[in-house]
Amino acid sequence: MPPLNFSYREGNTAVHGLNPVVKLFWALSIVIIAMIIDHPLVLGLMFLSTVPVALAAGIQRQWFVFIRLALWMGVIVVLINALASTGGNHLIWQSGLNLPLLGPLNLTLEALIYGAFMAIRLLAIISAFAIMAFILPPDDLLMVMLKMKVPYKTAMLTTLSTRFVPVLLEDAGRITDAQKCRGLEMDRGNVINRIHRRSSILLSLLANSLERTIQIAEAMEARAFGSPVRRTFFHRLTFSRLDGSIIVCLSVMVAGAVYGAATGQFDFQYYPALSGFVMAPAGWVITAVILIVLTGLIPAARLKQEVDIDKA
Amino acid sequence: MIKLEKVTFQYNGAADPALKDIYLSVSPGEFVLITGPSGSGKSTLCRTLNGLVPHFHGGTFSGSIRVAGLNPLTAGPGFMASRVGMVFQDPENQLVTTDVEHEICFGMENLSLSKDLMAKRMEETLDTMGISHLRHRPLNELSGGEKQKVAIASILALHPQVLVLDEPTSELDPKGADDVFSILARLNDELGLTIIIVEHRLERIIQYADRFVLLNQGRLVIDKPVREAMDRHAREIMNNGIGLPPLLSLHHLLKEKGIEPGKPPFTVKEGRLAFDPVLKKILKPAYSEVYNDHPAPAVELQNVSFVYPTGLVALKTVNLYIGRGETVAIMGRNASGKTTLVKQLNRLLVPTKGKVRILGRDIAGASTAEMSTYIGLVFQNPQEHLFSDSVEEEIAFSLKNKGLDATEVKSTSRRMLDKFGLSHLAHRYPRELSGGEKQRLALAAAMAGEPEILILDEPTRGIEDRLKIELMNIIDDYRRRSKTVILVTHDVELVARFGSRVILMSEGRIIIDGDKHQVMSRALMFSPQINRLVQPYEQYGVPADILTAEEVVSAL
Repeated sequence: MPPLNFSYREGNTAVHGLNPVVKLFWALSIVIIAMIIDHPLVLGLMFLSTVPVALAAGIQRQWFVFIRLALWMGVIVVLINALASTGGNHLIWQSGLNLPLLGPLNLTLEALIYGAFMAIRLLAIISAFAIMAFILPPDDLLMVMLKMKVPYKTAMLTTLSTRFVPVLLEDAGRITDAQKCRGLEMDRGNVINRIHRRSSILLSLLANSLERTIQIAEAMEARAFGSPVRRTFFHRLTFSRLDGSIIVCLSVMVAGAVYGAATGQFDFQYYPALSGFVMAPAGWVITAVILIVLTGLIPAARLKQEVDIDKA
Repeated sequence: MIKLEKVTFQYNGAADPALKDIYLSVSPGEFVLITGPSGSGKSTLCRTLNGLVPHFHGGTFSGSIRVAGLNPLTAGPGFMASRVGMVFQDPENQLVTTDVEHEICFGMENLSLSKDLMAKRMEETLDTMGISHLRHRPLNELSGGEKQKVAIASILALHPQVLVLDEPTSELDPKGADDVFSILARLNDELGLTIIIVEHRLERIIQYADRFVLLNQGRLVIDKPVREAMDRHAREIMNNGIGLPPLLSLHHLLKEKGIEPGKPPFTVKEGRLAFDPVLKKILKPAYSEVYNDHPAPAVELQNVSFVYPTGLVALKTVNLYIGRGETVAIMGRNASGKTTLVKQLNRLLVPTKGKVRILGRDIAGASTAEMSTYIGLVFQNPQEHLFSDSVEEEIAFSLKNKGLDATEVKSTSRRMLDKFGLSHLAHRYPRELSGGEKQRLALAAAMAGEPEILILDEPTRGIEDRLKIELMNIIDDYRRRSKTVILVTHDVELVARFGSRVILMSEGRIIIDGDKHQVMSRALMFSPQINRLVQPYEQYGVPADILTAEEVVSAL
């Protein structure tokens, strides 16, 4: 399996050119909506809307590594839910067993569908965060955090740790190779042995990282990090009117979703039988707004790219 | 510019002071080369100059120190940053942002410079370092040499009066190291920047230095103008575990033979001037070739190709035969496929196409751990190979793996510890050892099971000459017992001294494969210094495949 590397990927696509605040806000809106709304249509929409963004940013390969992981997690969610849930009217399979704490072991259509949509919710959240991590350079994240009044040292240390993710992964790969050469079998034997061997890698990795940390701290201090004078900033976050409009659109969308969820427009019952698929008119309107705003992101990014080129 | 008087420093918890009674005075614009064996106090001395010692690394400091008009003891590293710039060993551990521009700004922003001033210095610095084409590039895509240039740039932007560099090229390949050194020379020459550099490989840097400072065990042993140090103190330098550049080694050997070759030469051209009468006298070949024509097979590669999951084609139909008892050096630029090639041999990587046979057997399907009884592979960083709780267990692990019983394990590991001079450390925790000790332990652990094939990937990077020779003696001893040794290295001088067969790789292919005298002569980048020296003398009948100072002297 390719490594789970969620560090920034260089690129000059329109999506990469979006304002850092927009990138962050987009991912957060998807997460918020996916968390507060249960309706299967909206959940599906949340996940599907992230797919073209990943494609447009040209990061589909790295992104898919995470989607595959999320799918596995989803399968587990579906299985556990199907086995543990006792609700649901439509029985698919009856084991006749009676488990302690969980009750009768039955499989219902409703439990299966509920599990599936919880998996899709998970998929949407992981997808949005993965894409954001790939398209938002740590230096930009730093500026966004400063804009949000996060203290500089805290913000700096957060972004510094993201910068060292690939370095750590490389270290881990080298250490694993070196220890295999010594004759450690990594993938054979029982679970306890395997865990023991992996822990020896983690220990080496930890020791390496500690050394790195000390050296980085030294290097930062030698460049006046933390000196008492008020820090200046060479790069500043700028906002164009277009960036502002995108953020307003995203805010309207989130506000609509919150309003809809609060007033029960998206109430959907999975148990005991699926019901509530047909929404009230307000629900449809909000869904349409969500659809328009999310699909509008890529055209807006293209537009911004053109405007930026004209300015340059 | 710098004045140290009777400086003594002891780290908290250390048994001995790291620096003892150091007197050092440096004038503005001087280029000072500091050298010494590992643990001699070089790094500590550097860190006193900007106050990292004792502010960051606690300890007891005595004596007086002034640098660029300030006292680092009272000013502290943050304030010293505007006067003293410091560049460290590993570029990876001193870059803190993600692209070149942000990196160069980091220090200036900390010092609260105005935006206009930063913009001006940014342009200036990019031009001075010749890296303006990199300005928007992400740091993780740069080569080691480029990263180190960015690190220097980010320091220069602070307009320091003194630039201190602690082994800035030990993680770089020769090309990257050359780039960094020539930039330093220019900064010193044209901008008059005072430069203090710690290095133990002298051959690439000596021509730029004015002063030569040698430390050993915390004491300042030599502090002389560089020519004088090389002329009168060569023996002393070597006794302190520091290797002379080949040209100076030849100068020293000739002097010991009673031939007075004039001033010590620092460049190949100076060498030709100094040694001209001597070189014209060389007529006979300086070495005898020994060939074993039909050794039993150790390594056989048939049409091996390898493609990384990223799509990078790292090996292109490589065919290779290495016999038992051979020593082979694999050389080539960075990313030419050297390490990828050796990883095929113990199945750390599995060939995309083609066959690998080890000791005559096809290894398809074997695991790397299984291969470890036939192949010992040691990478550059010995620490990464160690995982046991004590030095003794580390070696015992390899022996148990080979299937030895408890008494045999005990006696053999004792013998190995003895042989590698680690007996007194048998019960210590491996990570607490010094760099040289860790290297010996990793090697001992790899060799304990007596693998038929021993592979060392960059074994000498960042280690001093004394350890290098020690390492090579161990390896040579192993080869004599008809084991196969494969070295992956950039170190041209090392191969010239100790190698025999050399394979040169480029872009995933084997370009040349032959005796070192044939592969390494009459070239530029891959020829050792002495060979570059004798090349033009071919017209006088001088054999053009001489590689080392010892060969020159023995051919006289």
